[in-house]
Amino acid sequence: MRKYILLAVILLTGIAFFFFGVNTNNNEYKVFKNAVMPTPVQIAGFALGDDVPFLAVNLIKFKEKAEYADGRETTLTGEQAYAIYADEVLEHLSKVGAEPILGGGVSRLILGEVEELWDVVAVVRYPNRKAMYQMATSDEYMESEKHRTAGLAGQLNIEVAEGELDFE
Amino acid sequence: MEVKNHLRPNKAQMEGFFEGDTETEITMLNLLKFKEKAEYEDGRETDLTGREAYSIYGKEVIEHLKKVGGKSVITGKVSRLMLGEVEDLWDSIALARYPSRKAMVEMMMDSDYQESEKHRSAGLEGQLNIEFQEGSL
Repeated sequence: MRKYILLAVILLTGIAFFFFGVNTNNNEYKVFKNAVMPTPVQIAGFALGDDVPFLAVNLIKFKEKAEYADGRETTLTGEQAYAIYADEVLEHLSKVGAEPILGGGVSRLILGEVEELWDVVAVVRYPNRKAMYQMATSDEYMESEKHRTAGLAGQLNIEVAEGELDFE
Repeated sequence: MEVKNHLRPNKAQMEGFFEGDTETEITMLNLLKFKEKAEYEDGRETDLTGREAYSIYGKEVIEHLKKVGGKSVITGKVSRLMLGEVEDLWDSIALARYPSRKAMVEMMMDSDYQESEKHRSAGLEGQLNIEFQEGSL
């Protein structure tokens, strides 16, 4: 009996490799999803980790036309609505000791492939995770945030521990 | 959505260096994924990890950047994704500024750079490299 199970496993593994290949080359498609709101696990992450500065690298994709959650009429594009947020967020950032480092409009991808290229890159430095959480949950921020969700189709936000160029 | 990390630009991406505005300052956001173990194209023996091999390139590239008027702005390790989902998260990021597309091509064509690049391709599984124009938010 055991012999047959073993044989079945070997066969199935072989078939799986045949169809899906082995994950060794860089030509394989990886799936990713931009999002507007963090998952519960991502939110919980703000309570964990060290009390150290970090960079938030935002890869942003706008909606064609802005859509406000409260259903208000608007003629703004997604980019214009987000620009209102981007303007107001400077104040919220400085209150928690964070600062925008750099940002700009994406012109092209020179390496790799993505199905839909992001519109903007923005890098922000926060003193720690708590500071970011504090900002994101303040009433004033949430008022500005309405413009963010109105304009944003989705984004990745990558947390980076700034370091030396030796990548170690 | 799907994303593919690559080691080398494709033909259209290569041609893009000579199209449009080739004279204005650009910034490159590199999203890097390392190999578990380094593999050199010349087949030499090595016990370096992918990250270690890439680090050799990372140190040497500072000089190559300088030669064409570019510079490394930010580097760091990816700790987590705060928003969105990625099947296979990148390991590190690197941001570099070049005076122009032309300058970046000049660097890549330089034989000294190509010598350092051997460590890059030994250590790197693949990457995205996003070109953007700073300030045009």
